[in-house]
Amino acid sequence: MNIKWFKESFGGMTQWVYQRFTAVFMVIYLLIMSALISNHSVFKYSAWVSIFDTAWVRFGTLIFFYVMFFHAWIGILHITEDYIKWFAIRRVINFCFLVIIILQILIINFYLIQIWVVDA
Amino acid sequence: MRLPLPALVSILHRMSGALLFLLMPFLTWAFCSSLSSELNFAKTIFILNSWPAKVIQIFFIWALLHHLMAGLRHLLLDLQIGNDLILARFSSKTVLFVSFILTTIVAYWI
Repeated sequence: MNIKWFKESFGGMTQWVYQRFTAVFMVIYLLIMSALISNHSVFKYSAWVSIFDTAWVRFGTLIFFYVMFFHAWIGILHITEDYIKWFAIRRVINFCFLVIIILQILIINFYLIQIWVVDA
Repeated sequence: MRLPLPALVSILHRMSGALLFLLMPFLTWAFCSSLSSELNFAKTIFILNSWPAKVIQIFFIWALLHHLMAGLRHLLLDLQIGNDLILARFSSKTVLFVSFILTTIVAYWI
């Protein structure tokens, strides 16, 4: 699976579909969240936290971050593919970007699970 | 060389996407840190209110809005809406204009 991803060989059509669906999901999430946030005064900690009290908001937020990282990863693959012609260098750079994304996924998982599962 | 408007929107879509990728760690940090505790929330707000953070936020907001608008335009083009030259130029202008205006409004509000 990993080797397949590094060869950037999951098909163009699949990427195209993923990119559109993740984009639509993110737009819907952002619209719903801005509606929720505009009802609160978010400059208070209690109000800010209470937005994320409901289970579906937490679930949606986690999914939002995963979807955002995935969307960003496909975008990065497209950009490096267009501007970095040398395959070996492109792989190294893609790998660096992948590490940056994976680190953020770990941080998100660590914090949100700590805040939302352990504390609850 | 004159860059056609739809091409400008397209390249800015790509650049704003790259910018969003680079600024993503700030979003991840701010989100996690603001939720983790009351003290961290106050610290996060304090840092976000400093002027370098505000400059970053304005760039972030512009990149997000432009990427969003250009992305919606892209989805419409996928649906065969607005493929002819006049509409394509009009929608590019709209994308540039709306994202700029909204950024100005949000920047004023920040």
